[in-house]
Amino acid sequence: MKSFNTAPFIRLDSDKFPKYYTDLLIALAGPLFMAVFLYGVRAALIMAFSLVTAVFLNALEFSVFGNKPIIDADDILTAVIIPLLCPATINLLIPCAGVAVAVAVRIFISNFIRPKMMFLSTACIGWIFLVAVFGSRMFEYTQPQALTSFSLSVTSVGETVPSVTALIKSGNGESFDLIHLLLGELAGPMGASSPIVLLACALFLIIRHSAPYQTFVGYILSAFVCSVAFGGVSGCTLLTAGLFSISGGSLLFCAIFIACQRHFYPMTKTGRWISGILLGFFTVLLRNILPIEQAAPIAILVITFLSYYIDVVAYLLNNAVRYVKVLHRNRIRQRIEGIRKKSRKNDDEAQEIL
Amino acid sequence: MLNSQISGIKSLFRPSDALKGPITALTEASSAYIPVALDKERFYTPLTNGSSVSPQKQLSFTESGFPVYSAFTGEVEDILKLDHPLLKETVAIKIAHPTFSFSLPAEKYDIDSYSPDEIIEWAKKAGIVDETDGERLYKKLQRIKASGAKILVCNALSDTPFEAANTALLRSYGEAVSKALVAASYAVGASRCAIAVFDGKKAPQFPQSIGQVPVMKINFRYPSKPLLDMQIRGWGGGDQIGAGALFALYQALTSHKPHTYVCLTVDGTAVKEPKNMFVPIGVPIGDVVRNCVVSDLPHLFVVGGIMNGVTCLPETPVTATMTSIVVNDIEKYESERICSGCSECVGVCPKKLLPVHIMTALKRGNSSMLSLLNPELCIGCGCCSYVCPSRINIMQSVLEAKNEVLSHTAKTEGGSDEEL
Repeated sequence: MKSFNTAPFIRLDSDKFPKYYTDLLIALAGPLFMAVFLYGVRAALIMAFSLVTAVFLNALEFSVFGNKPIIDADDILTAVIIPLLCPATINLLIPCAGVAVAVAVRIFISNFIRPKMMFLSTACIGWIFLVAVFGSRMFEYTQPQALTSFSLSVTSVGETVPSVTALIKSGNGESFDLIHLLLGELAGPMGASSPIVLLACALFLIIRHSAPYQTFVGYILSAFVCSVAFGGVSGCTLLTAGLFSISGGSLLFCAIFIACQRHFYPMTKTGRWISGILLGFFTVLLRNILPIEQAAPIAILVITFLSYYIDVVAYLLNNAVRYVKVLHRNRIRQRIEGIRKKSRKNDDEAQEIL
Repeated sequence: MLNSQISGIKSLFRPSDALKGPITALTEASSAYIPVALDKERFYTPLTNGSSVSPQKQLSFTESGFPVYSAFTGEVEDILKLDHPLLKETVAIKIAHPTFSFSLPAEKYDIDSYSPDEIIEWAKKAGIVDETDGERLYKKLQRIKASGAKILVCNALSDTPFEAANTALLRSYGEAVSKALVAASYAVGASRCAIAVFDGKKAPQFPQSIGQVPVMKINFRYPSKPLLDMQIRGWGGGDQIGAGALFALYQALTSHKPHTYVCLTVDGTAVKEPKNMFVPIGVPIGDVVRNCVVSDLPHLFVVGGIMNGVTCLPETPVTATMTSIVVNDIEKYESERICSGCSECVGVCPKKLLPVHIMTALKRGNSSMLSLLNPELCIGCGCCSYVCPSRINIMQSVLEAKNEVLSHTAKTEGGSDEEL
């Protein structure tokens, strides 16, 4: 009989649907509602198709490998996130293809890679696959119009408009309107809705301890600073350009719902700050280098792949800081002891004299 | 989720139902296996098959004179190699149909009449082992004395579920434990001593002091031992000794009785009537459990504590370091799932390690990364495994990594010595 440690089995609460997933799904209801509000019922239909794909693949995995489906609702999250990274004009089946690839990667990692550990954002992989296969169709954005489109038809491809990210890349900031930004009425992916809604979702997740504030704050601040530093946008102030840079496109959405997913961010606090800062820098850098409009998923995929190493660096940094602190404390102690010895000597001498 | 940022686990303590009744004693056993060759030290056994054994008769001894006794009367049936989950591979004496009876011996000698060296000598003669860390008591006392300790603390915390032996021992034989603690403090030259018990609404209540010794009510997170060590360092330095070892020291000093019995708790999800019992060292745990009412479901026996112990067979003999036997229903166990990267294990590690990354580095065979992550600092408390929502046995991997790093270090040092 092989001996094993029993500590993992004392708690009997692991069968419950984890709080983390419930929180994330509740938070995703915000951008989902906004997508339907701004782009019509078709947005919900795209989502439904993706969800059906994920559930079907989960059931298939269960029948082949016998893994418990749904409990770790990663695939469900992926099936909600990928369509929200797509434009409203997308074909209904295209996000399904992305979800299928993402779930297939997840199944491969969880069944064939040891140790059993997710180290890649499958949602990002699914989105990159779609960009690679469908190219420009992934960036055919339409102007969102609140409560105007309740039909299942979608605005024709001919009516596409450049997204905020495209305007930033071209350096044209003349049409930037803060009111439109706050209402989410800017062309972009379906999930790039009102920053107020997205920030409320982030706040909800951070308060519920389901997302680390370090990664989120680090990401947003660093993206803001880098976009201001890169500059190059004319027709508006630097502050406006920075605000549009982090709120437009999928950056804010990805910062909350992908970069802050527990699989991908580093485990140490210092590591989370480092990854957040690197994410912001890489997103702005890739946005300026790459020919595509949305760079956040690619930056997240690259940085989350490095999470493990970022953690090791953070651990070594923390150890070094602790070492210096102890050294400093010991020096102070030695000094105090020295002073005490001196004063004792003086007291003894004084007594001798007396 | 991310809120477990302070090391250790809060509120793990829950009083065992075993505390409701008195400490009983085991009266019969089918056989007994007495480990005679502990550690890698060389032991000498003057016995052969058919030799008779009796209480007070020394079964074996080391070069340094550390003895092994048994509580049994009977005949040696076999001397065999035993694969014990706590002692690993060891040599044991098998006694078939042993007879024994537990009784508290009359106090023949005055505990205050011993000199410090005599107290340490009796801790050696009685073969006492400290149950909190498995160290021989005489060696521990010598070490504490050499370190110039200011305070000696009796650890009666019993901080894990299904474990209450030390608390029960303190409640029933508090005077004896406190007298032994005073004697041990005198032996090591510590000016202060105290008894540490758990504080909390559910915890058993103790008076302000037992005998002359003050009772410290503390409410640490689990694991309490390293946290108590930190506290002791803050008080000017010292050490802690388990209540079981102190009780054995009291018996050794007052009646020259060797350490042949341990007080342990039999509890778990399958045990209907948990008990604290005095059990002779060497009795198979199956015989001990048979004295308690257990469910009909298939069982899993755990020794060494539910948090950091291991599963074992019912034939596994009781050792001096055991304080509990946990019997759980096997049906509640399920296989591990994929790591969700929740970082809970990192948040609770009392040594601020990265358990999941150590596990990853070990499974990838990345030894250079392993050495960076310091798995050798792991104290094996089991917090990481306990909090893991995917029920991954992280602690086992970290301990494997620790062994790998330590053996690699030993090899390197050995190599460099040879080169020199």
